[in-house]
Amino acid sequence: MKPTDLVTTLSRAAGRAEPPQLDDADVRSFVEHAMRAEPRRERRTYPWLAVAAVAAIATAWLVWPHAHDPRVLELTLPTGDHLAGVAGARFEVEDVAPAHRRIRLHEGEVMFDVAHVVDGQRFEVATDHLIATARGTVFSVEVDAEGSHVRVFDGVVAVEQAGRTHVLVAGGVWDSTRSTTAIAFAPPPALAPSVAVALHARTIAPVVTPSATPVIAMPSIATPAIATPPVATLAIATPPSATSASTTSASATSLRTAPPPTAPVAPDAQPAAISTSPSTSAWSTDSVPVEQLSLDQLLATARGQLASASFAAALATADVAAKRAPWSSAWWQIIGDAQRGLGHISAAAIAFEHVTGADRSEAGYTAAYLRHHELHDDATALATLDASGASSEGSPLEERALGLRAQILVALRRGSDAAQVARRYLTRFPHADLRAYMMSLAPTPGTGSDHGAKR
Amino acid sequence: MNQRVARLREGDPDATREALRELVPYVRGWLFRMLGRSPDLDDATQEALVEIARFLPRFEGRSTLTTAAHRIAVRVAYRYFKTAAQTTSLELVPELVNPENLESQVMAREALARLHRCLQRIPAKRRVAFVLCAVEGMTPAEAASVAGTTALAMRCRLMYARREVSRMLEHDPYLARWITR
Repeated sequence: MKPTDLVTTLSRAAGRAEPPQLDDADVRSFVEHAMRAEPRRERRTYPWLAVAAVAAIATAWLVWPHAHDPRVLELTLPTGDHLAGVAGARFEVEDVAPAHRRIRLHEGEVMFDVAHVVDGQRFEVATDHLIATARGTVFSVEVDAEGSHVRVFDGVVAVEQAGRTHVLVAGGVWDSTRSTTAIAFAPPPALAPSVAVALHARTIAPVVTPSATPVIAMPSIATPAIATPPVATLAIATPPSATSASTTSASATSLRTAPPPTAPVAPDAQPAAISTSPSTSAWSTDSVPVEQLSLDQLLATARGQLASASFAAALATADVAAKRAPWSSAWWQIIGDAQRGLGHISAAAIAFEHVTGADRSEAGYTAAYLRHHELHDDATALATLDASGASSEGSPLEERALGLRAQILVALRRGSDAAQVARRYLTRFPHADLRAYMMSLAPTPGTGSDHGAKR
Repeated sequence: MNQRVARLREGDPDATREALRELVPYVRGWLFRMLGRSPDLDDATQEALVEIARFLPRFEGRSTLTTAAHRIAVRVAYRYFKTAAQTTSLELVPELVNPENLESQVMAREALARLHRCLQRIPAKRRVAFVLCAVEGMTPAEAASVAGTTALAMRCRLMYARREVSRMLEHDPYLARWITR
């Protein structure tokens, strides 16, 4: 049928959709609440009050006698962002408007659990060396005498340094002194539970500065292999049994190493219903049936199962949760990661395409990557990438998405379009990793080369 | 002015309660079609009912109570457009569904979910026009009355909304299977 007919058909179908049924008690509750409502009053907002409160808290933080205090202090901004810093950290909250939150970190390490950031909003952490911009994520920034270090535990963070932007995905580490990106294969055991709690329970956990985090260089996307987005958000304390999990995806296993011993988990740092069990999964829920967990706990459990490579278990948990809260796109992200870990690439791509909201760009990019590299469905890959907005200007994934787009266009034998993308890439990221490849696509006057046309 | 309107204007609690009870399913349905299966649906329903309850003492009976309530529900929906960023599938679709074919049911749900995602990406006024006219089946004049605008403006918004939705669906990799070129 024609697109217009499809619109008509779908519209009629949508018109017949009924909302979830209400029982009599629900209706009565709605009515009684409405009846009790006070007459409308003029709403007044007190932005200065919020600013004053934050300033007071920040001041208290700065003067806190914590020279040798090992405790971690926590702070929640009016915007819902959580901050936790190790003793000795010094920072200022420069701006707390929902549209623009900016924190300047002078010294020490602070972990940021950023509330949902929608289009048009920014959450920035500035140091003397760099600016880290996040979109609904968990990351930490550390400032020491030598430079700044950014570690991303979930989501995407754009790091701006010396006029260049570098995108870190989950597991990424940025070192301002060396201007290098790395992937932490596994956090040190002491850090694992802290990160896990922040990731899973979306609460603030103690931040422990990792000592000698084993890192390797991020796989280069030149020549022109696009860096594989990580399957699990972070390889946290993989239990012995998980090492034998049938991880059929090569890209999945490439991000994991021989599992460290199960991390000691502070009892008070765990979500209440989740217990550790070295014999099964680090995030098994053997103490409480999955059906009795709250949505937050289910999300925490599923993420923990992903992190410990228990993909089938994560899928089952997400399935239970998705039935109870089908509107949340967080489940699609988990389902996509789990399916990918299980080697079900097509199902993973479809799941990532369902993700909406702040994570849409990242998930759409991953879906397009899978469709191009694993499923060889280039037309759909291009449509998915375009729909995700990942390659739009200012997107944290712009550089990678442009690289992927050029590759897809070459595969589709659209050489002139690929050259156009290459020119945009070279303009926006003249020193990035794919420079050589893009220069081969974008012919300079006189060379007459056209990579796509040749193929 | 009929007796019921008079009682509402006097703030008679029984009349108000009865009117609100009648309106709950309508209000919820309107907001469901505007917002999709959003986590905000219950909040929006409650907020709309509160506003309707406040409005009832000023109701003069010049339009039907349903139309007045619909106007309020649309106004509330506008506020939730800004916060409702997520959505999922609507219910099954009679035209697309073969009850014996599970796959077609799944595909229909998916198609509707994608339609709703498209609606979230178009401007709020066009989205309202699309939902009122294309989904609810109102005429542009009726929709204009509910949305507080003119029929001409409503027609324009509807035209642009249909065009945008059509374009987005056309480029949707999942829906491409149903589209002939």
